Amino acid sequence: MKSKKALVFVVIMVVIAITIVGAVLSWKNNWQVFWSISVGEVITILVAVFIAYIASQFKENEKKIKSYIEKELIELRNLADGNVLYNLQTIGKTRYKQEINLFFTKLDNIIAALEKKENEFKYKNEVKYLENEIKELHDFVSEKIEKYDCLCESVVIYKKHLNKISDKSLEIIFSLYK
Amino acid sequence: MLTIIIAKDFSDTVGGRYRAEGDYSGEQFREELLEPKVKEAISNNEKLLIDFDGGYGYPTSFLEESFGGLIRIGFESTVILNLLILKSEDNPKIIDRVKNYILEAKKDEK
Repeated sequence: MKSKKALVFVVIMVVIAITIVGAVLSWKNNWQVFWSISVGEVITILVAVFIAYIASQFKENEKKIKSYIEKELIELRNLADGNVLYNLQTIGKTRYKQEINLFFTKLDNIIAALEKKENEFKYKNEVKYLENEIKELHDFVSEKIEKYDCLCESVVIYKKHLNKISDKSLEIIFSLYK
Repeated sequence: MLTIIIAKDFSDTVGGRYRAEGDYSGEQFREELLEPKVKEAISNNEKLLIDFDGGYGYPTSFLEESFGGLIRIGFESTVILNLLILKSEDNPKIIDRVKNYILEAKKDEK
């Protein structure tokens, strides 16, 4: 379906381009001849249209990927800003370990997704920074995973790391569109 | 090939590092399940698949005590790394994490 649309687009562009060039040449020849156009000129037009099409597709793909990266980073910020670690007392003793483990699994998977495009969009150092902050936080929480009361009281430690994660994510979002 | 599916064979909600801290600790997992299977795999010249999927996730202390702990109790890291096949589609980062714990535990030993 997508390739059919692309083909139709290319055909229309070629017809329009040939018509315009034909009209210009005809005007130059005082409107004597409309279809008098050399093979070389036709090929030039076709190549120009093809290159323009390919370039527009690359731009479109890049735009789509940037928007997916941005969505992942926004998700990361949302998790950092309003997450289970701040709500352990509400979650309670029966469920808190599961919620914490799921939370860190989600963070890991976001980082893994971001890493796939870190070289292409030049944010490798920033992702490494995020990974380090998540690791420090994960290690801290893991060593105390059985100490529910202690975890409930460690909000300041969580903020230390999660604020940095949120801020760095925003920095990467801005860098995508500079 | 031998297999351990942690969520099914042990617990889908694992605990912390030591038995003294609570149930389903890394120490308990290593002593009751992992170490016996590792020994069996070595003596039968088989691989051991560790499947991390299906659970709620793993505290780093659990993973480090389970796998890094193998090296601390005397297994060679090269033997363990060759023996283990690690599967984690829920969280692929666990695989490198566990391998690093095995390698770093060797350094601690020295």
